[in-house]
Amino acid sequence: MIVCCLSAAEFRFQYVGAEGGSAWKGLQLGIEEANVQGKFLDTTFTLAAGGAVAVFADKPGSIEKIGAAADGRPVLNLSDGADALRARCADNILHVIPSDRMKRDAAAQWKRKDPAAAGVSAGGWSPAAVKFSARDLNKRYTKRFGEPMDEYAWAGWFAARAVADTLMRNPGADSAKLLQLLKEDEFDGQKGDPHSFRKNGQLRQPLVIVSADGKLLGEAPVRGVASDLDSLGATSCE
Amino acid sequence: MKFSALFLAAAGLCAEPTHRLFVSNEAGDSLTVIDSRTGKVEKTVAVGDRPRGIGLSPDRSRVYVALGNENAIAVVDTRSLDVVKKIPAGSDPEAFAVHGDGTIYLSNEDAGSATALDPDSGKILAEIEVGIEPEGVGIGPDGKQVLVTSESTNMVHVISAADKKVTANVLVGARPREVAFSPDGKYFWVTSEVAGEVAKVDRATNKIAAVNKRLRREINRRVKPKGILLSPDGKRLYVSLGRGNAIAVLNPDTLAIEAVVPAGSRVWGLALSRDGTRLYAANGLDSNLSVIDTLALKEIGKLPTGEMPWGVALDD
Repeated sequence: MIVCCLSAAEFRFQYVGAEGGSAWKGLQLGIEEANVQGKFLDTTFTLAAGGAVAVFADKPGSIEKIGAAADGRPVLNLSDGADALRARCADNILHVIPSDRMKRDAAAQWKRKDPAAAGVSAGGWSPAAVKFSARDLNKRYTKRFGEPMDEYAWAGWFAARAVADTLMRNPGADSAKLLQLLKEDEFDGQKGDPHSFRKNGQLRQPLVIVSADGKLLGEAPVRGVASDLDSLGATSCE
Repeated sequence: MKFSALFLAAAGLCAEPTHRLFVSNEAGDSLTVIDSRTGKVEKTVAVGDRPRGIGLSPDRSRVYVALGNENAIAVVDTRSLDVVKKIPAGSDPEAFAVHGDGTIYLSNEDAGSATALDPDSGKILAEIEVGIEPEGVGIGPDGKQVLVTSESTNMVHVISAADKKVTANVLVGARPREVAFSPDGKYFWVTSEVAGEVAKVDRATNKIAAVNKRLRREINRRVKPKGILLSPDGKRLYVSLGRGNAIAVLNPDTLAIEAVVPAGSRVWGLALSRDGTRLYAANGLDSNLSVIDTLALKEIGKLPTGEMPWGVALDD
């Protein structure tokens, strides 16, 4: 039997969490956009629990349990920022949402640059972001859901696109191979520098800096203070 | 009017070039016109809202400028520098290429489509569905193939010019921006901004024949490949590196780095003189052009532009 790139392929994604939240919505948009890519190469991506190659989890507090039950399949954490999760380095858990420490480090970098800044915080995404085609992604999300895109929505979108893009390039990959490829590859998050997963499963990514009243101030790593994405958060297991 | 356009078209190569450089200024909403022989700015044309893609008509009597926020292509007379008209071009036109038959193939960034437009009649000949955030457009030397990159879908779409349908799709590195064809049409090269790579694609198989993923490691970590041009003799590829603030000179076959020429800040659009001795590069964050001597492989001057120059076209 000849199995080749020209035969139609279907990949299933499993979602664990409450439906209708922003992570779930972002995941929907990500799957829809993956299917735009898939249409040109005869590949489809659907949400289904049975036979899924990867698990997308929006369940803070339960990520490790979900990881343990996933039978080695990649579990993409969309919403739990707990540092302890990153420290324990479960082999099949990939954290798309930034860790709490990444956000603290990013805000501290901003305060090094602007010591008078009060109440600044950092996050994975801002609906006001425009650079690096962030404007385009914000437009697409708002058009689809009629509301601004937040960091959980971004995490859902990114997770679906990264997994789908990897499968598109490696159509024969099973979930073990997929996990390995996700750990090796680089991805476009529509916020500049390429994103990749650290040894501790955390997605290496730029963050946005937001003022106390919600205004977008800039990005981290904060230029002039740090340049390396690994200046944000822990890079290895404890 | 009709007569003079026809006359110029018929005159073809006999028409005396204006030697003008045309620069689209994305934030300046303008077109900077520079005499390439003297380096003097002749005029700044208020061309419209968010000008980006730029290119000349086959007879070089017109320079076209994509106006993203006006959903139009501005048509500017290369001699009088008058804005002759604005042609509706679908939603958010960004980049385009002009076919030898005069048709403009353009990307509509927020609509996920490419449009084939007849600039004389203003008629939209076809809308072609492509991936998300379409960007660079290239046309093969025999005019049979049109390439459109889609940035968020990580693909180059191959479109047949005859029936305006997608015939093949090539997955390339993340965020493909621009393409350049070999003179024999057998290969094309594509820049991928986020992946930081340049790939060479074999048109016969639509497979990647060579790729250089080491640009960021070997040049600097801020490298984001954007513009790409092949030298007239086919022996060099020039790649603008965005915030890498330089131009990479690559071997077209092996994609090995032969030289790195420092340019200005966030360098994007490129244009080469017909004889290949001068390379012009738009420095988006410096509001100027780098003039590069391609024999010495160094910058020999800077020419002022409007705010945030995006693309360059040269009528020589």
